[in-house]
Amino acid sequence: MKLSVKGLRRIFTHGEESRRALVDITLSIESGEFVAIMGRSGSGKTTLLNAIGGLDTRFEGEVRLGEKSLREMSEAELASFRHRHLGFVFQSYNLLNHLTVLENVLLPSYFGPLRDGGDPLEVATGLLDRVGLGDRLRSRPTELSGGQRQRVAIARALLCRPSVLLCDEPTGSLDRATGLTILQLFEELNREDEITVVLVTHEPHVAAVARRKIRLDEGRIASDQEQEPRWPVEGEGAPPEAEGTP
Amino acid sequence: MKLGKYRALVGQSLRRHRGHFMVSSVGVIIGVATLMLFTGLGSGVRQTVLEDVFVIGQLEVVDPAARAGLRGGGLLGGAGLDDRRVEEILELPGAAAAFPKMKLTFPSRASGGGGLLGRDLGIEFIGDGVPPNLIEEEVKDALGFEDYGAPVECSADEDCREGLRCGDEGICEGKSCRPANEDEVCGEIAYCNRDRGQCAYPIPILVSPQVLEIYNGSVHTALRDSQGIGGRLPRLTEEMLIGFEFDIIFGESFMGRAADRRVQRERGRLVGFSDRAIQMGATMPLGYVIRLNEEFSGESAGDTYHSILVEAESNDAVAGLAQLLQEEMGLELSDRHQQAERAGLLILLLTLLFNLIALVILAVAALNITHSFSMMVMERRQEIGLMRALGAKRRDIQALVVGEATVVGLFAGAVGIGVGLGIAWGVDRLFDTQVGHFPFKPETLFAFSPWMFGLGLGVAVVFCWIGALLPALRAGRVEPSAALSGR
Ligand SMILES: Nc1ncnc2c1ncn2[C@@H]1O[C@H](COP(=O)(O)OP(=O)(O)OP(=O)(O)O)[C@@H](O)[C@H]1O
Ligand SMILES: [Mg+2]
Repeated sequence: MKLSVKGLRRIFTHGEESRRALVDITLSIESGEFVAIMGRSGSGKTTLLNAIGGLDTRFEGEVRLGEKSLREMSEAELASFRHRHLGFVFQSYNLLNHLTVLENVLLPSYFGPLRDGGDPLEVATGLLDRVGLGDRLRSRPTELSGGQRQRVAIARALLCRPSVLLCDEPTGSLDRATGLTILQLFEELNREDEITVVLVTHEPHVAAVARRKIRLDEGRIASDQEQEPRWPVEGEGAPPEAEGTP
Repeated sequence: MKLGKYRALVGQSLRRHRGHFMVSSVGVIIGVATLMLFTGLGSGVRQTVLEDVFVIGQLEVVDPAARAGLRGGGLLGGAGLDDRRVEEILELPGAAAAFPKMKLTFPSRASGGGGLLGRDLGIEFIGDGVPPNLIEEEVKDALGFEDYGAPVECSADEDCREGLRCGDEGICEGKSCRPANEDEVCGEIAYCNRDRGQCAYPIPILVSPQVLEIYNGSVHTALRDSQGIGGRLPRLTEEMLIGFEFDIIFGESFMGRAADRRVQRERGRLVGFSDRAIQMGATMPLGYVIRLNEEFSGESAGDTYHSILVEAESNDAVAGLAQLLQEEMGLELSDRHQQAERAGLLILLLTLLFNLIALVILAVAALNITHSFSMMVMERRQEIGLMRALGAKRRDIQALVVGEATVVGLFAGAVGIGVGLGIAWGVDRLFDTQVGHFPFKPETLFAFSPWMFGLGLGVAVVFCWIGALLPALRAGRVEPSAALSGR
């Protein structure tokens, strides 16, 4: 699914004060790309991602996901579009601590059937196996390490087989080595499952593993270039072969 | 959202916020308990007052002409109360039975009670008659409710009842007797009437249960501690009184005597208690009254009825029936009906007034729910934002909050009903043990019916919904982006 953004502006107003978070962004991301969005804190990365994901629709300009323009969708249509096509991964995992790992992964299935009609329980256990947590189904998120929690969040994002994965600082709370295994998971999903990955980060070594790097500065695109993915050489962080749990 | 999933989600949330929900439900529990209590009380009092005191299912029809003193009704074409009238009334929709009644039209008194009370008492005897075949099921004495005085034709003594013989005119009459040989000559049931020196059957008497109620509730209670005979009066039960015999002196009373100063002494025997009996007096088979009236007040005194007691098929049919009797048939209802209507209205108003208190409590409870649900929505903003990001529609989030409110409502409603019933039970115990007997003192002050439980649950849920309305709308408005970034 192609993502295209045309003339996107987002202004936050609080009383008298107003802040221009995004200023006239135009870009398009083809199906199957692995894109990193970089920029300093406050440069508008999260704001852009929220606009693309339809989490925030109070923008000016146009965001198209495949054939559909976000602005033309009703609230309910947008919700079910998110459910079927988009997966979100956040820096703070956003797991529900009163639910088990398995229940967390199953959460999206409460809001609609899986896209290919599969059995949610089967798909969820399969995904947890794939992210190396097949033996922690009944654990609570609080009993897991940061890296494990983020894997649970990724499994949750994958439950409905999204075509696009929107990740906001997914490694921001993790140490470098753990972060690397998460990045390898994204790389694998992008390569094997052909999922478009849009990854927001302010860390250069994270952005380096993407095949395209967009840099934001004060709400504008400062640069947008293809690059050769570069995996860190230090430690055992050798490129693509995905590893198990850290 | 599928129903099963929805239930699971509501269940998860309820388990997690158990404390919150308990606190939210307290007010509703109190409100529903109050509502139950007052509704049950209103209905209980209504039942006692309307069914026992006023006997709402009955209407007593009187002849307007007779009431105004225009006896005979010749000018109006004989609009009196007769058997034809009874038939017409029975045809009316909603009428289940009709009992013609005739009063004794001359003074009489009764005396007796030595066996029960220690000394004979004398009182004015107010009596009326009803057709005996309509009363049978309420008669509890072996004597039955029959007209023993009706003439029976005979050709030999065997044709007559025990204690009677075939007279010269071919009609049964009492055997000659003396008090000394009463048992041999008159048999088991008949007695020897001293004035006539003949065996006779006691007159079967029915009394209204209200007479007993009022005796026990006021006369007995008031005189209990007095000196003399009053202080020794026992409390009476129906069982004690069935079979009780006393003398009736027709034609003579404390107020005056019948025109020709003749007096006839008979024996009466209490055979049962019936709502169809005269309110303050004694009811006997109609035949006795007709004959006695003819004898003491002249030939025409036995021709027309004084009133007709009409029983409705149900309490709901009473109003319609009353209207038909008054407007279609031009009859007049006794004051009792109006009093009953007024009492019913008063009870209804009081019940509504008290239930208003319950509603105020529930309204405060709803406000409390609004508050605690709002807090809960605030606490769960991030969770709500996440659900929205994962595909939950606004409607799903709102439904979730409403679902939680529904469960809180059902829970609080059920507990409130239980608490209400518990308090009612306690009040009844206190009422039973701490409050002395008074007329018509009921065994329970409350009357609960299934619809009230439905009402309690329904009201609880509705008030929870009202309380949860704003929080639900607010939850639906949570912006996923803001919630997820913690803003
Ligand atoms: N809800 C909001 N209300 C007001 N201002 C906002 C809001 N969201 C973002 N902003 C402002 O918009 C600008 C861009 O914010 P954004 O969160 O997109 O930055 P970011 O690049 O994601 O930064 P970080 O790396 O720290 O996450 C910032 O100046 C921020 O203060
Ligand atoms: Mg950000």
